[in-house]
Formats: sequence, structure tokens, C-alpha cells
Amino acid sequence: MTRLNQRAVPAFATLLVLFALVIFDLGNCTALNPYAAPAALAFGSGEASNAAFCALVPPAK
Amino acid sequence: MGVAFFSGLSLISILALMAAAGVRYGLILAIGIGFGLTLEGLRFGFAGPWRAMILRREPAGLIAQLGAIALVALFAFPWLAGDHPELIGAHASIGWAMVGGAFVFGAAMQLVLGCGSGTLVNAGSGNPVSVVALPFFIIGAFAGSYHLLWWTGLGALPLIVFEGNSGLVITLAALGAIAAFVWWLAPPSARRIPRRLVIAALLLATLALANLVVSGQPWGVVYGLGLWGAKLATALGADLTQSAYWANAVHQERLQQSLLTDVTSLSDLGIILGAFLVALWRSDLKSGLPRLPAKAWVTTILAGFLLGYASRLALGCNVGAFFSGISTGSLHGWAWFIAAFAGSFLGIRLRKPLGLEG
Repeated sequence: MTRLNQRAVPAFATLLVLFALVIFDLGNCTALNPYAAPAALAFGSGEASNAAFCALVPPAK
Repeated sequence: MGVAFFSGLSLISILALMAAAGVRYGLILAIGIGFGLTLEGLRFGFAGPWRAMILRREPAGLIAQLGAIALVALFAFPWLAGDHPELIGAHASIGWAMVGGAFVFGAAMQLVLGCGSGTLVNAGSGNPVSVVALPFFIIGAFAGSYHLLWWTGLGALPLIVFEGNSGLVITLAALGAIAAFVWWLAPPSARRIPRRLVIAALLLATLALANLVVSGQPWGVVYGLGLWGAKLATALGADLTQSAYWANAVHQERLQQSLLTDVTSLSDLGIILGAFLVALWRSDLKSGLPRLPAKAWVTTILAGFLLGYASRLALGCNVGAFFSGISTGSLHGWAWFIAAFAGSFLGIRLRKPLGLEG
């Protein structure tokens, strides 16, 4: 069995593609700003959740 | 490059994210890595245990899932009933598309033997079927969310949520009844729950609660994958304002902000990374790749797409709808469970004719 026929190949490929996605995204989105960060813990902060979640459906237009 | 190197890199990533974006985001990534370590390290899954229950009446994995859900519910119900406007549950209405989507998801997850979390875990540990399925899962999740409001417009019941002490009692009683029923169905030789599953259920429940405390929302998977697809589509020139879903202010903001500030994206990335670390530590990455016929790879691509598309119609996957839906009181979680379990029967039957089993 050669190294190319091992699970390491698809595993590393996955990590590399995701790393590239994150880097590409960082270059095309609003810059990260730690001074605008929400509280470390949402619980007890009183800040509303941003509602970006699988179950939540926005109202139809 | 060994385990120590990648573990150190993971820790540095968490700390760097805390410094660059905020402590909350680093914590969510850490929780995601915890999910990956637990799911892969203790071999805790969703599709596999359902298959074991259907084919061999082995209830251990399913009972462990129900136990983890019950543990989360014990804390989530009182928190959601209290004065905590910053917390949301995985609440959604039961509808035609929701039930149909869950059925298709159940079938597709048995074809590739990977659910929402399972596909991420398997991809991180180098399973080639999941590595091939994942990009199509992402495309499907994006396409499903793009069309979501058309599908939900086909009809749905009003939102039904179990709340407070009475809701918790109903939920725990239903979880207990199902656990007792599958235990009763099992042959005596299968009536045992391995210690690793008990530990995994405890850890998963703890991590799911930590996710709720830190992020304000329950553990989810597919929103993040759809967002990755939406960002790629935007980069290729697509105009997402034509989609009622993506034109919504919440999702427009997510498109403009970094993936590193999106809760489900961070936990998804963490799951893959955590599973990778376990596979590296166990030397699983040295295992050989399977030889599958061409039709198995075509099936994997189609099933990957269906996993994504159907999970958006179903308003969540095994994590966002089943695990988090039930543990935060949403009736749609129960409907998802029934429909996806029924779909699993179909998926199991289709594996052999589609070349995924010898």
C-alpha cells in the first residue's frame, strides 16, 4: 500500500481546502474586530442571538 | 507532523481567534473541537446506531443518543423558560417539506453512513466517502436554503413547543418510553450499553449545553454548511438577493461577516479538526482506502447533495432538528425523528443495489 492510498490523503485534503476557504473568506468579508465582539458568554449577557440557525426561517416577503 | 504539532496548532488557533475576533468565537471553536474529539474518539454516531437498531435490534447507540438529549433538556428547558432573551431554542414548525426533508435525509444518511455531524467527523478522519460527499452536502445545503421559503410555503402547522416543567416532563417521559421500547425490542444479548457510549453521551450533553451558554443558540450543523456554499456562490458572482432566504437581513449580515464569527461554521470546523486529531492519534490515517464501484461514487455525490438539500427543508439535521430540537422542546424534532427513522429503512435497503455494500 502506497502513501497515496491511505486515509491521510483525503483527511489532509479536507483540512487544506477548509483552510483555503477560511483564508479566502477573510479576504472578502468585513475585517475581524475584537473591540466589537459580543460578550464571551451569551448566557446572562442580555444580547439577542443573531438567529443564524438551521431551524429558524425568516418571514416570506 | 504528529499529534502534538496539530494539537498545538489547534490551541494556537483558538487563542488567535479569541484575540482577533473575540473570546466567544474562540470558545465556540474549542467546543466544536470537543464535539469532534468525542464523536470520533468514543465512536459515537447517529446513522450507525440507527442502522444497528434496524438491522440487528441493538439499542445501545440509540439509547445513548436519547440519554444525551434528555440530559440537555434537563438544563435547557428551565433556561429557556427563564428570563434569558439571549437564548434561543431549535424551534420550528412541522410542515410538508419539513417531514419530507427529514425522510430523505434519513435515507441519504444511511447511504453514505454519515449524518450531519457524522459526515464532518468522517471527513476529518479521512473517510473518502464522506470527503466526496461533503462538498455536495455544502452545495445541497446552499440550494436548499435558497429555495427554503418556497418549500415552507407548501404548508405547515403552527409552531408547537413544549415549555416549562410540564414540557420537560412530557419530553423526558417520551424519551424514556422510546428507550424502554427499543430495550424491550432488543434480544437479551444486546441489552447492554458500553461504557464508552455512556461517557460519550455525558460529554456530548455537556458540550451541547456549553454551546448554548456560550453562543446563545443550540448545537447545529447545516446552517454553517449552507453559508459556506452561499459565500462561494457569491464569490462566483451569484446574486443572492433574489432568494427570499438569503436576502433576509440576518443572513445578509452573515454573508458579509467572516465565517470565523458564525456559530455553526465554527463548530463545524471544530468537529472536523477534532476528528482529525483523534484519527492522527490512533494512526487511523494510515488505513487503506476502500475500492468502490463507480455507481457507489455517483450515489455518494447524489446522497451528499440530498443530505444538504433535505436537511434545510427539514429545518435541521440529526443535530439541529433531532438532538437540539427535542432537547429544547420543539415538536418538529419528534416529527423529524419519526420521518428520518422511516427514511433510514429505505436507505439501508438501497445500499447494496447502489454498490455501497459488497
